[in-house]
Amino acid sequence: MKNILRTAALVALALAAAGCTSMNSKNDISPKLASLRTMGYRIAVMPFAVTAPSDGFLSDSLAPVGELLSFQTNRAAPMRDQLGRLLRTDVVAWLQQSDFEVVDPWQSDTQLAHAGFQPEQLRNPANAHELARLLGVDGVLFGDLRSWNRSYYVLQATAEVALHLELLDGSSRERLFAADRTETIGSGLSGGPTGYLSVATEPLAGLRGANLRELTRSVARNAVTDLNGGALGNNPGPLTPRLTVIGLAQEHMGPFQAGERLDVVAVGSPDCEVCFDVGRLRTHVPMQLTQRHPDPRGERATYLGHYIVQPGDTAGPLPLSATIRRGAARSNVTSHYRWEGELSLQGTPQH
Amino acid sequence: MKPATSLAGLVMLFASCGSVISTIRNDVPVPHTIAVLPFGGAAELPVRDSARLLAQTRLRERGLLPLDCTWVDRILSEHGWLDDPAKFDPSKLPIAEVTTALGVDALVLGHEFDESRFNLLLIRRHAFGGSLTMRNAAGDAWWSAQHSASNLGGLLLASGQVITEIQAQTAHGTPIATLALVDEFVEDTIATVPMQPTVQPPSAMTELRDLRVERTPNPQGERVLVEVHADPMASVTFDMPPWRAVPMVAVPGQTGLFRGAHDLAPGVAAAPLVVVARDALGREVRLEARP
Repeated sequence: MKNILRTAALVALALAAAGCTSMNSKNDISPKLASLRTMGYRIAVMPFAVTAPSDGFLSDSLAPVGELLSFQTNRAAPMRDQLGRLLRTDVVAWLQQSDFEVVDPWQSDTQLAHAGFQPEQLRNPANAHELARLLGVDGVLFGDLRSWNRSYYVLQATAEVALHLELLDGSSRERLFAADRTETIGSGLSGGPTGYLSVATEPLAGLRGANLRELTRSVARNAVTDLNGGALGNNPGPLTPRLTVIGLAQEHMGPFQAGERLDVVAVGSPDCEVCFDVGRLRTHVPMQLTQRHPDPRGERATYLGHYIVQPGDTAGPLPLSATIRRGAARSNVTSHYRWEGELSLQGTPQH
Repeated sequence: MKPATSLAGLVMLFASCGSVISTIRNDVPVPHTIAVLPFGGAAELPVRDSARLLAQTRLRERGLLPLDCTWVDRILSEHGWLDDPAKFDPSKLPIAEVTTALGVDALVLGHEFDESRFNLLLIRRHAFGGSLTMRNAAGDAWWSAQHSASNLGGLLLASGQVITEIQAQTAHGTPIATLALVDEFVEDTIATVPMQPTVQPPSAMTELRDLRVERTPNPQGERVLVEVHADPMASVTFDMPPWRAVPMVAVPGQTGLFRGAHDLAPGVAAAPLVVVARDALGREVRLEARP
């Protein structure tokens, strides 16, 4: 009896140590990727392979995960194809918010089908060069769903999703990025049950389809975040580049007329990419680093940019904002700042 | 007893606010091309923009053909319908005029997007929600949905999984948690859009021709003036490394003619210039200036 209790206690400790929710990620990133991203690297995402092992694969339990497949256009397709399509959709959806330019999957699939490519050829990274050339893209992203399973051990249940992503450059055939991401949700002993009832019920609750759905979304989102070299969207952190000043370089009264220059100045972290937006009318107008300022608290830099108002530019009042992005070897973080004033453009055509 | 009853009531109320309320009108023609407009509401602009971009991608998967959001914003701005995106309110738009200007069958409008969070240890909630409608030029809504995606927890609710709840407490309310809720919200609401036969994008893409570059000395150094002909509805920019994406504007009274300019400081050599045009679907063509 003592041995049984000791074994149960050790198992419980091991499960607790393993954690109830875990994420494991191994990334291999080429030093070139950060700079390629900042130049508007154009990629196509191929249909995903699904090599998850058959043991534990949920091919016979569609009902609990039916909600997961509500997106599928072809419900008659094999389960594995449906899952591959779901993951690919999720990855493309988040890539649209990254620094990459992503070709519409429908467009690339149609082009490749017309060119006579078979499905297995589209999932083979060895064909990256030919695929990139045909689609007119810089790189090709391949994916493989390597785990999509639920396990039940009476006192513990685990749901696991594992995704492999690989980005290959079309011209050099170099592998720019590879990631293996595994995420699990555990329920039962690892979650810290507080009573006999929860010991029995929590593992069963952990088998619900919603867990797999949550993992699928999370794996896709986090894998794309890794590929993008940092957070998606505006998520400031300790390494986030900052702007302390953003505004018009010279005071200007009234609307800007055709031919006038709208000069914008920004001061902030050095060696970054900075651009400004005039509302949503003129966006990503480039700025250049013009001066560095040594400071005991950290070096600062001044960036200047301008937009020459054209005949036909008539809008306002519009907000002025700037974006600063740092693309280092392994990370790419972006911040967005807004000037407290507003400006107007009145590029009335000259007759 | 009363505080416990109130707390239990609160828990039941939050737990019940989880399903999507959606409507489909069969008497309204099904749209094929759509434009997803900026979402309105009190939620932070980056969060609303993230939801908008996700919705655009997901709607494509439902067989509809959404226009590129950057292109949509430029058209709205040029017509004076979009000044400050942070304060954008789609309920004030002239639907018929906007639909015609964008050349689509329907607009996807987002209203009252809001994010809320609280954490009282015993009970915590982080929620993101709003309503979406797909309206045609007549103002009729073929599809609408209202939903709030939420993460409800706390030691009161998760007493059976203490370690899980402790982990969840550290993640509560973070930007990553917000993105997860946005993801869930968009997936749940767009799933109520009936699947349609996939709309094929038009094969014809914008053309670029008659590129002209003129350099004129000025007090700042040298002004580079660029003109090119393209589809009147295209978004056109030019690259002159290290400067990228300098905007070009359609010249009034000269259909299809775009003009842009940039000043070079003295002593700066102009690199090879490339003009880039994007159509309403975000498809791109390039034309390089001959030296």
